[in-house]
Amino acid sequence: MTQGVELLDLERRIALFAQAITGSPYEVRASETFTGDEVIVRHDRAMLSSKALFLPSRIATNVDRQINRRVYRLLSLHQLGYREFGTFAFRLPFAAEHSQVLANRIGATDSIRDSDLDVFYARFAVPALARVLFQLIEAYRIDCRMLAAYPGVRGDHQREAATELARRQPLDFVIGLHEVLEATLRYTLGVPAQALAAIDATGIMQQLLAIVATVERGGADVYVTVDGVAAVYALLDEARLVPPASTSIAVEGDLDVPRPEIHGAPPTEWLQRENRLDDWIEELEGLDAMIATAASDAEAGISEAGAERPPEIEVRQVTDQRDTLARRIEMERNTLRHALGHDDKPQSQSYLYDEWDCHANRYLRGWCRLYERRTEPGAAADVIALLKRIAPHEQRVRRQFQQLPLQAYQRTRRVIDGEELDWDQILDHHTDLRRGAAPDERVYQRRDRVTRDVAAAFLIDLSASTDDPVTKPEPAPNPDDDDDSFLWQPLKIERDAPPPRRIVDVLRDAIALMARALDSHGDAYGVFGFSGYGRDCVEYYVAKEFGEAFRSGSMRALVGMRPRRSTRMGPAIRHSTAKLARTGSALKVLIMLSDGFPQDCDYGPDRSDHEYGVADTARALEEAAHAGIQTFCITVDRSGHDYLKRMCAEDRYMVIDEIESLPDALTKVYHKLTA
Amino acid sequence: MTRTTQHEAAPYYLPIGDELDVFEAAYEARLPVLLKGPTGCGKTRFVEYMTWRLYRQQESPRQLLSEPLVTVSCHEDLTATDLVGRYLLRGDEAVWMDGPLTRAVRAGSICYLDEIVEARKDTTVIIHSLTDHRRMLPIEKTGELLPAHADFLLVISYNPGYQSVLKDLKPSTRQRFVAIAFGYPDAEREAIIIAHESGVDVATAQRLAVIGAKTRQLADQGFDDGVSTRLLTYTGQLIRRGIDPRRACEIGIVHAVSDDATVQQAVADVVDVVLP
Repeated sequence: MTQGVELLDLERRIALFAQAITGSPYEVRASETFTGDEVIVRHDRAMLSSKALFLPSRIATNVDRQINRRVYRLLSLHQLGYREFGTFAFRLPFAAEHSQVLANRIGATDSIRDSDLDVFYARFAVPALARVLFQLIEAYRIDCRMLAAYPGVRGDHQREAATELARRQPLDFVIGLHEVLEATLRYTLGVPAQALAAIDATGIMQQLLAIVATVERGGADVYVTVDGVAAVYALLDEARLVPPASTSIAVEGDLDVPRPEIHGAPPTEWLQRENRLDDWIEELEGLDAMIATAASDAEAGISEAGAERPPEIEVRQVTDQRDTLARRIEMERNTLRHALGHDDKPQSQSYLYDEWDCHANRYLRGWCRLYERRTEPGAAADVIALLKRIAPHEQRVRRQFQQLPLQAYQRTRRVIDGEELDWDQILDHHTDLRRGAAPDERVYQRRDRVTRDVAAAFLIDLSASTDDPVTKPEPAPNPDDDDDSFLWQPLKIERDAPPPRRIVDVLRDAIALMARALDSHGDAYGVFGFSGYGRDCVEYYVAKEFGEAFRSGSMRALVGMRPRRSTRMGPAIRHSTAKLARTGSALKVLIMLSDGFPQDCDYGPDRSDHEYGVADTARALEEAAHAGIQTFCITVDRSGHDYLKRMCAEDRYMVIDEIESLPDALTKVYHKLTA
Repeated sequence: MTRTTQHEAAPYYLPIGDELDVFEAAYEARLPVLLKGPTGCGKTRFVEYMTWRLYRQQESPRQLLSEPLVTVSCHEDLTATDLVGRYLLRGDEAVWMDGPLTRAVRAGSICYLDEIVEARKDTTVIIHSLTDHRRMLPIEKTGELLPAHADFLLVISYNPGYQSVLKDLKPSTRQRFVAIAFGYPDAEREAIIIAHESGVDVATAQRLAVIGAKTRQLADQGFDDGVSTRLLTYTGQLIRRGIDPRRACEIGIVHAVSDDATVQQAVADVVDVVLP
C-alpha cells in the first residue's frame, strides 16, 4: 500500500526550502489552484510562476512516504532551477552576441512585444519544433546544473528518471522526427548515447546527442541551450526530418512527445517576459532621470554648446519616448497578470492556517491563506498631521508608562563575589578568624537586575467599515417635514471644512501614541493590521516588527494603514500568535483593536451567519491563550458586548463607548496586562 | 570572564576588505574602535590578529608586553567594579586588585569589550573618559585618576542583529568610537576559512559555505543572523573527526539555528541536497 504525502502537510517546509534556495519568498500551491488564462497546467505536474511554486496536491507514486516527500523536493528544485540558473534572463541581443550562427539566425531585434524566446522560435521555419527542442535541452541543462549544485538529489533524480523511462512507450527504432525527439528525451533521462545510437536509423543521433551534451559542462547558461537548439535544428533540417511548415497537423503529431513528470511545465516564455519587464523599468527610470536633469539644466540656463537641436526638442522627444515606454510597461503588466493569474501586489510570504468549523465541530486543515506584507508607506504630510494630533496627549501617556518598572535591582547579600563588600559579613569574618573558627568567605554583596521581558502585538482591524466617520453626519433635514423658514435659505457649502475623522484615524492615532511611549520604555512590540477578502486572501500588514525601532519609516507605515476589505479575525490572530511565539519573550501580549464582528464573504456557509466567524475567532483566541499569550480585544463597536462575550472572557475585552477615549483605554489595558 | 591572549604565531585571519588598514590607522591615532557585525563572523579573531600585528610582529616596539590583549566578555551582571577592580580580603587586609580594564590601561594593552551592549548601561559609562581626549580612567574606590598608557586602545564589539532599545548602545557611548562593520564573508572566502579552521577538504568546506549562504536566506524566519562562520567551522571540525557530514550538520547547523521544527526541516532539506 502506498504512503501518499499531501502538499498541505509540506507547504511551509517547501516554501522555506524554496526561499533558502532562491533568496525570495514563494507561495507553494496545488497545481489545480492555478488561475492563469494563458497557461495550461496539468494537476499532476509542477510549475513555476513568478510568485508561486505549483506542485501536485498529493504524491503517492512510491510506497515509502519519505520518498514521496523527497519527490516534492526534487520537483521544487528543478522548477526553481529555471530561475536560479538563468533561463528567464534570456535576451535576444545577448544571444546574437553569443555566436555568429545565432547572430545570423536572429537578425534584427527591434521593438519586441512577444517573449524573446517566442521571437527566437519564430526565426525557424517550424517554430513549434524549435520550441520543443528548447524545452528538451533546457530541462536537461537545468538538471545538469541542479545535480552539480545539489548532488544530494542525485539518487532521487536517478530513481524518478528510471520510473519515468519505465512509464514511457518502448522505443525500438529511431526512424523519424518523433522518435528522434523521444530518443533525445531518453538521453536526458540517463539512457546512454551508445544505446540510442544502436537503434538509430536516421544516422544523426550520435551527432545530435553530442550537441545536446554541450549543456553538461559546468556553468552552461541558457545561451548554450539556444546554441544547441539552432545546431540540432540545422542537423534535423539536413537530414530532411523537419516537417514542412504548412502541414501543421503533421507537425503536431511529430512533436507530441510527453514531457516527463520530473521536468514539470514551467511557462518559460511568460516568465521570460516578466523578467524582461525589469529591464524596461530600469530603462524608464533612466529616461526619468534624463528628463529631470534636462529640466534642471534648462532652469539653470545650461544648454549643450554646439547642440544641433534646441534642448527643448530633445526633452520633448525623450518625454514621448518615456510615455510610450510607460504605456508599454503597463500593458505588459496587465497581460502577464492575466496569463499567470497572479495579483499585482509585491512578492510576499504566504502562510496556511486551519479554521474552526463550529457547525462540523472540526478544524478545516490549511483552510486560509494569509499573505504577510509590509504596509505601503503613507505620505510624510500625514505623519506630520498625526504627530500634531497626538502631541497634546504624549506627555500624559509617557508619564503613565514611566510608572511601569523598566527594570529593578535586587540586592543579594552573602555572596562569594560581588561588586561591593558587605561590612556586616566582614565583621563576622574577622570575629571568626579571631576566635579560630573557619570564617565564612561570602563577604560580598551584589545587585542583580530583574528586567521586563515583554513582547506585545497590536493587531488593527483594517476592514472597510473603519472608513466610517467617528461621528455620523447629521441626516439632512427633509423640507417636507419641517416648515422652518430658516431651512429655505440658500445652502452654504463649507469648502475648507476638514474631512471627517474616521474610525481608522482614531485607531492609528491611539497606536502611534502607544508606540512612541513604548519605544522610550523599551518593551518589544509589533504593529500589524489585517483585512482581506475570502479565505484564500487574508491580508496581514506589518507596520513595525518586534525587533525594529519605531522610527520615521514605521510612522509612515502606520499612516499607510488604510481601510480595506473584510474582517477574518481567526487567521490574523493565529498569525500574530505564531509571531509572538517566535519572540521568545517571557510575557507575550496580543491586543486586537476592531470596530465590529468578524465577517468575510466566505466566513461560514452563509454570509449572514456571524456565529461561524465568532466561533473561529474565539477558538483562535483560545489557541493563543494555550500558547501562553495574554489576549485582549478592544472594540469601538457599541454593540460589541453581544459577540465579544461569546469570543472571550469578560475580563479580556472592552467596549469603548466614546471612541476618543481609546488612547487612555489602550494604555490602561497595556498596564493591566504587563505590569 | 577575562582572558589573556598571547599568540607567538599569527592567529589566522582572512581579510574581507580594508579592515586591516583601517584598524592600523585607528591605532596609530589611538582612536577607540567599535566592531559591529553578526555573531560568529570573526570580530574577536580580527582583534586577536590585529593585536598580533601591532604587538607581536618582530618590528613591533611593544613586543615585551606580556599581556597585549585583554578581552572581557560582557554580560548583564557585569559591573563597573568587575572592569575597574575591587578590594579583596587577604588575611586581615583589604587589598586592591586591578580589574581587566585597569590592567590594560596601566600596561598599554588593547582592551576588548566583547558584546558591550550586554553590559549594564551604567557600567559602560565608565569608559567615557578613556575614549576622548582625556584618556583617563577614574578609579572611584581608590581615588586614583589613572592616565592611560600611550599604547592603550579600547575596542568594543556589538551585534546589531538582535538590538532593541534595551540592547542598544547609548549615542553618547557610540559616538566615541570609529566603527568597522563586519558581515559574513562570501561563499568563496568562507570556504577558505572553514577549510583552514576545521581541516576539512576544500570540497567539503565549499559545501558547508553554500549551506551557510542558503540558510542565511531564511534569516527572517526567527533567527536574526543565520548560521555563523563559527558554526560552519565547528561543523567542519566534527566532520574532520569522522562524524558523518549530514549528522554533523544536524548537530552543528540544523538544531543550532532555530527551534521552529519546520524551519529545522527546511534547513535539513538544504543540507541534504547540498551534500553529496
